[in-house]
Amino acid sequence: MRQKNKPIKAYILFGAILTFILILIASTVGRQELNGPQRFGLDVIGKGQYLNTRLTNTFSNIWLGYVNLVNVRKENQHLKDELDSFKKTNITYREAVATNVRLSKLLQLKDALPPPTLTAQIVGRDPSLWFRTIIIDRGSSEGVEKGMPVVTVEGVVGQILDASPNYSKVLLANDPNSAIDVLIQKNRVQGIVKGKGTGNYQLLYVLKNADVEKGDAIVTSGLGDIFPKGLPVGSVSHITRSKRGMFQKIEIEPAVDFPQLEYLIIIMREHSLAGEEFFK
Amino acid sequence: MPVIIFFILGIFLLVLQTSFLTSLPDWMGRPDPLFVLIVFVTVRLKPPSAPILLLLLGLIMDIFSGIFLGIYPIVYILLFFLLFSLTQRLFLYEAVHQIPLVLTCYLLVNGLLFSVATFLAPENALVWQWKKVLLQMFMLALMTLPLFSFFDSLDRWVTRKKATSFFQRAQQKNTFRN
Repeated sequence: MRQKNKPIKAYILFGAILTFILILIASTVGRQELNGPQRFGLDVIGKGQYLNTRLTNTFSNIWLGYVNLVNVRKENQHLKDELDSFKKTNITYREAVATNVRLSKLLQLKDALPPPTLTAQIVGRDPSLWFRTIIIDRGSSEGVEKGMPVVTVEGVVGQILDASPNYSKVLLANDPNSAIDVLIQKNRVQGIVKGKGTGNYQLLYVLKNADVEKGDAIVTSGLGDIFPKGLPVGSVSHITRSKRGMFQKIEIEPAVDFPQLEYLIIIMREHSLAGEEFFK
Repeated sequence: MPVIIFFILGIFLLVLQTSFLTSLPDWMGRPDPLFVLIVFVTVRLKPPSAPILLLLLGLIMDIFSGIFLGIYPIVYILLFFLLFSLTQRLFLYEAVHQIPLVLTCYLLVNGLLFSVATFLAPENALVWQWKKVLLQMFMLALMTLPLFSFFDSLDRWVTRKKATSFFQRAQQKNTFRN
């Protein structure tokens, strides 16, 4: 009896479900909105989809991350090499620009100075502690002679001490053995600038009653026909007026930054080789 | 042969310290490897090689440094005779002596250069700069041992002497044995 009732119940259940589905289908035909059970189904299945997608993505990312990691090192090294290469190129360009700026300034100065002039590059510096000389790449074959003034855009550098056919030795203005006739620009008071050997100059033979203040510009006087008149030499950095003596002790900050010198201009004499051959 | 080799080496060191080494920052001073070579030559080489080489290097130094010609050869020759007379009485060959020897010689040579330059142009008085001198001495102290080692190796190679370790104590005869 019990065994007979089982298939009947199953048929009834199957029929009920089928009826429910048919009613559901019939109720949705022609509509565009989901009904309640559909929304519920969407919610549940959507949640599953969401979890599955997250899970898949997570594993996928871990796998891809692992696979990519193998190549990242190589790529990183490659990028670093590339960056180094760009940095080097950048430094080269910056240096070229800086050189260009320096040479442009020198060219402007060259145009302003009385001709003839000659541009030179420093090739060596005095290794001793007591002397201030440099070696430049221009010599007597180009008309360089002893005593010729050497300048830069900033001001006076020194004068030629000796010359071989291709190179010359320059006595810097901050050497104690250098002496240059100068003027205090504002009041035309004359004096002599001598190197101190420490980097600064001292201005000698300026009387105590002369009006000198810190910051006053010092320029060449043009006396002695060595340096052209009006070239900047430096500015007054310290003044001492002692009770004894006739003169003031004046310290001058050089207009030129001696350790940074690279290119120089030699002011040639009219009768020099450069004047006759190179500048005609 | 050693004279030629060390002369070429001296020229190379001079070029190095007048060009590349002058571009170093101020706090590093002006490294003076040539001076270590001068002291090495004075101590290690025998007359007439040593004084000839010192005269040649002094003449070259005159060209590149200072304004008074002849000042360097005179100072180097004076240094040679002083050290030569000292090495006849004292043993100055070991590594432990090298740094004090070089530093003392540096102070002496610079004192002489300073004095001679002041004597030749008393109106252009130089200023003795202890700070710079001490910095130079410190740099020399750092350079002395490796440079002496290198010069020793070069000397052995040139003269084909038997190679010995740099820090090995020089072998002396046992004067009490016989």
